Amino acid sequence: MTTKQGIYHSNPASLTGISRRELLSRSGTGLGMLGFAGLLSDDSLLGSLKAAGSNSPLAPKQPHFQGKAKHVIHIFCNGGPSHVDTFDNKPELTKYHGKPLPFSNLRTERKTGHCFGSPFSFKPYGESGIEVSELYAKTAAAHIDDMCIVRSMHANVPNHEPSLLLMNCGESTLIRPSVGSWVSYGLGTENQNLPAFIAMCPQGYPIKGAQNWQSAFLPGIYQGTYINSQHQNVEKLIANIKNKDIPLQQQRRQLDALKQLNEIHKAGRGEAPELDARIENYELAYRMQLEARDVFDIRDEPAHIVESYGKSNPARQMLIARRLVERGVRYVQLWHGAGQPWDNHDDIEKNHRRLAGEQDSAIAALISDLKRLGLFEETLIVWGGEFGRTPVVELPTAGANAGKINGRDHNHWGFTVWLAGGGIKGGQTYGTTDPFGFKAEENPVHVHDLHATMLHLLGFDHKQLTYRYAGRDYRLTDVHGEVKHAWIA
Amino acid sequence: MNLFRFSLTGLFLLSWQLPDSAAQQEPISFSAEQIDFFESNIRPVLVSKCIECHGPNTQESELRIDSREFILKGAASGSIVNLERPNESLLLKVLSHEQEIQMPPDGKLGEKEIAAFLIWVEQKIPWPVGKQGEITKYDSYDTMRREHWAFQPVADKTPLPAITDTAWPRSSLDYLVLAKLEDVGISPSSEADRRTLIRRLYFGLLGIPPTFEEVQAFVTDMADDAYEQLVDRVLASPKYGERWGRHWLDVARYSDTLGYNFQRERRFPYAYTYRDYVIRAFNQDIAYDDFIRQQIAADMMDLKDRRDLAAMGLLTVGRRYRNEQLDTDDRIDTVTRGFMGLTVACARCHDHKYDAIPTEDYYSLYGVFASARVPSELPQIQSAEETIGYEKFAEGLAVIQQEIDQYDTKRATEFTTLFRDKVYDYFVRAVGRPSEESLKTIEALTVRDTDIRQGQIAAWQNYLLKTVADDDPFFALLKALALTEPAKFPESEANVRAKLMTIEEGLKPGQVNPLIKKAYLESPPTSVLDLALIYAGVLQEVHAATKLAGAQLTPAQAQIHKHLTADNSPTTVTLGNVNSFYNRADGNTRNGLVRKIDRYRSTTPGNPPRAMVMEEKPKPYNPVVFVRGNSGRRGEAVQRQFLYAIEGDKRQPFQQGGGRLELAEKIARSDNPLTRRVLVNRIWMHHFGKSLVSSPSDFGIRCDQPVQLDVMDYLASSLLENDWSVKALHKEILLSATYRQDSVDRPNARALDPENTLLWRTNRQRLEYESFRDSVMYVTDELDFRMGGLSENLTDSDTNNRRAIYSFIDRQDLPGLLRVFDFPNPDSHSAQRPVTTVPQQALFTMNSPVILERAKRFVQSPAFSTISEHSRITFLYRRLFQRDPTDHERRVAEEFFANREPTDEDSTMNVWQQYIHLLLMTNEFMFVD
Repeated sequence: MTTKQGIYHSNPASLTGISRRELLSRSGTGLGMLGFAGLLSDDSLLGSLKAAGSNSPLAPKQPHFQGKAKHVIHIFCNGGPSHVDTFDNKPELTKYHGKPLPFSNLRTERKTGHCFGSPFSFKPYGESGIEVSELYAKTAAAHIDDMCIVRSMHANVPNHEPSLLLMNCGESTLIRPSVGSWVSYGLGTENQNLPAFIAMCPQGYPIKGAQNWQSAFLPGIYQGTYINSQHQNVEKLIANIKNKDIPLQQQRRQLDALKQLNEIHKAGRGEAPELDARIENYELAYRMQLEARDVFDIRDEPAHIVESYGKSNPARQMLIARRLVERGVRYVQLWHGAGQPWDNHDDIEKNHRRLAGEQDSAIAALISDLKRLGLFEETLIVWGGEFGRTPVVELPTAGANAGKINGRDHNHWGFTVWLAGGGIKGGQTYGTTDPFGFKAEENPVHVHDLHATMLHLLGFDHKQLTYRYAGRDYRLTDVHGEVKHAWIA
Repeated sequence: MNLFRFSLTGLFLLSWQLPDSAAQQEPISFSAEQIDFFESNIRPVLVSKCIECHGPNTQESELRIDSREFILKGAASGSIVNLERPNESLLLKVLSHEQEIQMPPDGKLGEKEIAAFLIWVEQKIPWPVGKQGEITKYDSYDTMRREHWAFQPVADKTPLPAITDTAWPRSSLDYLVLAKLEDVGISPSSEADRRTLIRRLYFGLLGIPPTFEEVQAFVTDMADDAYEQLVDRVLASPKYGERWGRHWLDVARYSDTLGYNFQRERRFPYAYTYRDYVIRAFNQDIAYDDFIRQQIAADMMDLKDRRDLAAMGLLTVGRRYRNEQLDTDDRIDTVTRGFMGLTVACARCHDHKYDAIPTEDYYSLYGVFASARVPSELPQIQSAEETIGYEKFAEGLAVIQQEIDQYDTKRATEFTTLFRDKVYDYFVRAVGRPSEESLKTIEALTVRDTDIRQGQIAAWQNYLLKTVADDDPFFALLKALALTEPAKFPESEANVRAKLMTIEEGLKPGQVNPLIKKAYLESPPTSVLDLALIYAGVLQEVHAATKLAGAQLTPAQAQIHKHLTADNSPTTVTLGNVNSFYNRADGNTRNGLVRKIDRYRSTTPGNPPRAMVMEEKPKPYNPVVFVRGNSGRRGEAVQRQFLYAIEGDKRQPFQQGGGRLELAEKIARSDNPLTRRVLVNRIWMHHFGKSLVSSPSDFGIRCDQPVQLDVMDYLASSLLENDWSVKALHKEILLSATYRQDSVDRPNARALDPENTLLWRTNRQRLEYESFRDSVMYVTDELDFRMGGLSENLTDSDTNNRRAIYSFIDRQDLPGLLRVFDFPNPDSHSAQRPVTTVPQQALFTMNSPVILERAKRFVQSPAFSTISEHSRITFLYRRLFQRDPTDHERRVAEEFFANREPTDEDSTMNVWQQYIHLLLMTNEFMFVD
């Protein structure tokens, strides 16, 4: 199995479709390089591939270099959280409250008016003394010195749909694979009994739906598995995870008979890895039933842990995310709720207080939990939305808002994302917006840069993680992206 | 020579001006022989070996070699040719690897080539003068066109190669296959047994298994041509179109929805007419060249069957990006990769990185597709009378349509009242165009800025400019002054006022309405805003007067009031223009209703089918290059024409309209080297589970020449001989001994040819999702063979048992089930489905009600329950596998029945149901040998 030929022998195209040879040729210089380095000479990797039971396209793979992060938890505040009310304090804005900006309002989606000082109070936390608003008091009090607050994010346009796609797939309009799909393709996953990439959203889809976790031209298996985390019943979480007619014990008996028939069928057909793979696949699926039930069932968590996260849907899914990461799931994306809950064109004070309230304890508990389990260092946590919100108030537009003049419009010119764990240097802020929080000013960071840095933390050169499709080598960052080494410990 | 060369000309002009160029000091004159020598010996090498690193794009060591001047200028380290002492030229030392620097880096040139360079330097590097001398990207394109296998003409049938085992071949293509096998010493596999063959044919052509009786009939058919007859019978089945139509729908990135749309219905109401066209095209064996033409340009052809218009769904069932540029890009990609295996869309932002596709060619095709549009009303392809259920459909439609009409009518009435009551506000804004500051000073305004309907302001402006005559008795004054610049206003106003004194009061054209005259002279305006306020006041007053009880208007008032009440008054809102006054909130409400009607049309049977066509725009679109794909950066103009890669510099601009039909003709031409090969390869791929060319939709420069090129060309020639008949092509393949081989592994052969490139056996194939599902339904007597019509949700268990090709495909939310079974992403053309093995597939067969229900019901059906207990295992084996069980298999079954356990009572499936279920899970059910 260690010779080149040996590999091809055991991997005809019909086995996994993307045979190793094809994978190598499709991955251009990216996985191709690691493919030859990793797949042809690393016996232990071959061992683990075998252990995985099949030559699954999700078998664990080595990245380009040793990354610090092995998992990602992306907390997605869909709709766009206001940075000036959370992690980017702007005293000037309070000073000018109710007055026009000293410069003209930047163009956003809707009509906006005068300065709108944050209704929330800020104070410094931790040794780093980074200022955070009362909305995230618990998270900041416990973990600010482990967080890197990037205050100078910017995106391309002030509309949800393109910004969601940009943040999730690195491209606003065209159909491209999501970050989670790229990572699953590059790294495979450590637990073959669970999907590599899980996107959870309570009560339905966010805007743009499954496109946010699409695999596009990557094989469908790299697409995020959607889970409606509103349900507590595992059967509703994962399709076909339970047989409603046949109890497990009988199913075992059924599978044993099936295995015998498949062995009879195989006899006389010679070497047939495609038949073996499907035989083994039933065993894998059988184990998956048990494991998946276990991971989504939080009843075995101690009461104090469950309490520390809180009772909301977003809180419960953070606890599930920890359990998934514990079991080796590669990429977990947590959407706050169906539609765009953070899109507070009206009543931002009331709504942001409620939304952050559903998160704050849970994020604090999640990070504490990961630290307790020794997983924090290998789990990259990313918090943010598709953009931020304007420092100026949104004016009434019939049909677009309730006309209360107490909310904020979308703002792609400047916003905040924070990262923690997984090799991030905590206790720092990076970049600034202007004194009012409208536009990224110092060290601006584009979404492509965020992606490049995330891939770097996972062990990839973002320019080399490529997939050949329709005559071209594609990558997450297209022709952009700059790794922000300042964020990295 | 061609249009595009001038992009490099600028650089050449620069080079002529280089002050230290030695070339300028010596007269350049070369003989025709010397130029010929350059053209045939030197230029090809420069183009293929040097220009990539020393050309217009990159200049390694600061050296360029794409003109004589650049060569004379030399590299960073100095000159590279010594015209006095040619032997000492650095160029020659580098080429002959005498130096540390050795070029070309990927291998030394041949001795003859190096010798030619010496001669060339001795001749003082002859180079043609002017444009002919330039080395451009077209030089390397020409090399590609000359050298890359896929651009060479399809080879005519040649004499068959000599072979040893002359008994084996059944068709000419077998000679080609066998000759290669014999070369490496592999014998072909033996012919599969008849049961295997008929199963292979049924699954391959129809996507379902034969019945046991059909197998028996074939096994016992002693006719010499029993197999051929079988092939003909199977090809004639209408189920064939449903199987092969699905293959084509992958190519066509078929979906029933347009993708994301926040407010509107996202279903295409008529996408299914394209799907049904494709099925029919395969079943009727529409000649493949016509199939091409119809899908690209049916609207420009004389069609015998109006239903063929639906073929144009190929262009229109793609994702709609609400951006013409991206929609067009999707069409270019689908057409070029789908039909020709050329990745033209790679050249959207720059020249293709590898292939002979300049970005100009992308925009040539862009011009073709951007000259067409989707018409607002799609053509009906079947009359209402012919459509079953039409009357019921029409009744339902009328009900919803009425809701929309009622909404519009209600809003129109409300707007009319509003605009008349608030005429003051609107008129002041329309004519006075007050600034934000001055607005605040006008106390009589009652409508907030945010509540203003902009459409009404525009309507007033339009009315005054275009409808009202200059000598209108009421508005003449306003028209004379409304557009005056502020600086000139006092002077103009004085003139107007002076003239006013001379005009007769009255209500006829040329006279002045006394009411406006009075108001005007009471306080003559000092600005346009003032003027607007005067008029607005009068209009408001007259309107108010009509509201008084028993109001009687004077003739002067009546004349003014007519501007508010006439049919053409800007305040009169009708069903025809109500749309322009809707704000976002109204739009949301109305969109909800439109969505309801669209949903109804898309989901209700009885809606007469329409074709998703495109039509030519009134004027063809004249394309320019969008620099870096950015439509805001307009580069040079290009012609609408075919690809350089295929036609070279002989091509001519398209003449008819936007050129879509001409494009289709170019693709469908018999001398297009790609079209037939791409088709042959796709068809081969589905029969053998593996394509001849590794990248079925990319035959470009990075696609190696296939080992079986001769087989491909042979079949491509046959296709032409058979007038592009796809069924004839199938038959040619299916009758071959190559196809009829066994799929059993042979270690010795595998050692020599592990990938089975040489075709020493047939590849075992796993059923695709559609075939698996249809087969489960079929063997349990539940498959519903109704053909065509609206797509339906087929991923639920009970609702519907139609064939999987009729599944509703929502590209915005593709069912997880399809995705885990490798269904291709319907957002772009799919060259080939991957075959992955993941546990979600096993979970589906193990646990999904879609499968469990089939087993449960079948056991309850008379077909099964009437079979006596001891014959059931045999019955099931014949049903599912078209054979009798072996003793061993019987024992496994009996053991399974015997090992009953107390927990059985918890099961809602009895042991027979569980047994059928496990047979459906077997590899034998899922794989075709």
